[in-house]
Amino acid sequence: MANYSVKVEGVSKVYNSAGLEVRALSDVSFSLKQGEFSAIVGPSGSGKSTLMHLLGTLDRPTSGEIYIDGAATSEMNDHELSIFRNKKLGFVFQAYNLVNGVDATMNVELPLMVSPMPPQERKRRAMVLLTELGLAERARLKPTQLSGGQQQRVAIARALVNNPSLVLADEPTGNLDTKSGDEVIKLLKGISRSQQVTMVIVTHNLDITRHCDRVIHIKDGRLDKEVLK
Amino acid sequence: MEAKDILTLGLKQLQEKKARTALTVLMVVIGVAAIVALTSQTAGTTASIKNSLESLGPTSILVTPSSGTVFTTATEAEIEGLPNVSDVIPIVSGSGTLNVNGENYSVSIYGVPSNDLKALLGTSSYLYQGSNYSDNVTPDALVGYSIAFSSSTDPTLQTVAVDDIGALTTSSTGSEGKGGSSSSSKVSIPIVGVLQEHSSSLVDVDSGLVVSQGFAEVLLHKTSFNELVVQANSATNVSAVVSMLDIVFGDSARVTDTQQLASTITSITSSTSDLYIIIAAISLLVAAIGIMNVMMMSVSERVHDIGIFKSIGFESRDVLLIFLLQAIIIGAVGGIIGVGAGVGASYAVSSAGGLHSTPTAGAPTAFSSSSSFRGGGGFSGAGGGGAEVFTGAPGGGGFVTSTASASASSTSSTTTTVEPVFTASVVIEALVIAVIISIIAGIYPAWRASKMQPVDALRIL
Repeated sequence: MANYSVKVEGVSKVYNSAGLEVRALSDVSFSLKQGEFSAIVGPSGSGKSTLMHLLGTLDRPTSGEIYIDGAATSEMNDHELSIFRNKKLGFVFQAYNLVNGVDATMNVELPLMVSPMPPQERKRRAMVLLTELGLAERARLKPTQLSGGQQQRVAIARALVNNPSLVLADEPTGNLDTKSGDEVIKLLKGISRSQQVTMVIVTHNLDITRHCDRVIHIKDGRLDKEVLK
Repeated sequence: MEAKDILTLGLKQLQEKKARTALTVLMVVIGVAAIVALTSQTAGTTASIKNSLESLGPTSILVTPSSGTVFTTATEAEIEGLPNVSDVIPIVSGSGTLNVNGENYSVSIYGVPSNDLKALLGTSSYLYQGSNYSDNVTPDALVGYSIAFSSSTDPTLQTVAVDDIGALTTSSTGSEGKGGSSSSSKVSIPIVGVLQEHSSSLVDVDSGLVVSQGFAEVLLHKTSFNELVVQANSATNVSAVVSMLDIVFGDSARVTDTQQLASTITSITSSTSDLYIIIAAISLLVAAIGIMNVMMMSVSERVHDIGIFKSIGFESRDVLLIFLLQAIIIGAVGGIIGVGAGVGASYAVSSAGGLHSTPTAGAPTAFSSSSSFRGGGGFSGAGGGGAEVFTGAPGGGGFVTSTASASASSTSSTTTTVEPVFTASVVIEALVIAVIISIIAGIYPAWRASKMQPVDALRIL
């Protein structure tokens, strides 16, 4: 198990909606190695977003287990999950999901607020990342003053600031033009390679899969196929 | 998370909706200002009345005849003979119009033995100018300070002085005011002295004319007294003297000591204060509903942020504190500004004449629950339904009014502006109430935000 960054074992997710049982995922199993750049693909409604939420510990599986860095996440309580997410995971969303009331630097600092860290050190780490991502001059601007590509780079900086072992990106290029989308994917892959961060891109854009080491196809809530490159 | 970071995030969220935040703060400001202003006004009024009563002395007891009872020198002598009584001050009162130097003044007329003025006014230095009148039946008069300095434009300009000669017109309705023909008389009256300002005194001599008792009886066609002020020989014997007077007079007179007056007035002002506090509390309740509404809207609008916070590791407690702190900030800022606004409003009300209930002719109020004592109000008694507690003789002037009778309550009156009283406890209580109400109003929306599951919050995006 220690060879894997992520191990998904027989995970199912069933929702109860107005008395109706909706099976979003059925017995999904796969593993991801440390530093792997992978993608979960599938048509709309296939269950890929549900899988991402489960991988991100934002939701709990109905059955099965997800191990991240060897830790069984379904056994953790809410408090432990909060700490786990803060230390081990990073998120990049399609709609960037930045806090509009604060500037780019503070958005990047947000995950560092949870762990006790001097404000100067927080700011320094945020600025290092923003500079690496070419946003040094935009650091004091609020998200609404940035372009879509710039906002997504701020979101990437926020996802990386705590040195996570797993970054989950849900349709990270969905709101971007082709050029900006390509730049974001190359950026994520570069970080995955250089920092050995396991990265999972959830997308329906098959074009992105050409950059990936592993592609997991989800269809009707089941693992349809797994392609290794 | 550190408190500073929670505060920063809370403040940033409030800053994002500046107008809405400002309006919510304003709601709290109004509620707190209402509490501070109204309680300070009531406290000021109570303090002023107590001062006035104290100026009469803790040993003073008022004895007023009931309908059909007549106080004479025999009554005075009877009371003087009672144990523990040191002095009895008989007062004959009425009203009239004084013309001096071409100006007309509506005046209260008090007939008091000259050697009793010290006890009545609570000081030996009661003269501003001139000398006392003689106790003979001579038309000498002391004029009140407000008449001597009646210029509305220049309060230092003396309009009536010693040696001026006034023309005093009085009217009477038969003997003792019990019907009969109405007549008026006009006499020339020299001013022999000007009284000091006695605004704190219950006897409103400021707008009055004080003459010898004998002259007042002739002038007002009276053979009896309107009031008797009985002095007990010590404060501890007041209740004993009151009991004795009750036994002597039964239902034929009303006996009231100043402590009883103070107690009654405190009770009245306390009731008024309670009413004001209820009104202010309603304002704060409205503010609380406003805060809750704004916080609910804020949580709904910030599902986005809540999802982000939780996904990056914020705990439910952190989210709760971020939102709750916003409510507390609104309450605290509103409370602080509200205290300032309340202080300002209270002084503004005082300088504008105060909250007062203007007495109406024929039915003067027992006590004006206000920051000013106006003629005709206060402890007046007049024919046709005076105050329940402090009524004077029928048809006669009240003991302690500026313009004695109801019919004379219109023109010349003295207003004593009451300084509002601010106590640290009122200010602190108002602030604490504002914050507590904000917490109560904010706790549910904040709790709702904290309990939001990250996956649900992110799905709403």
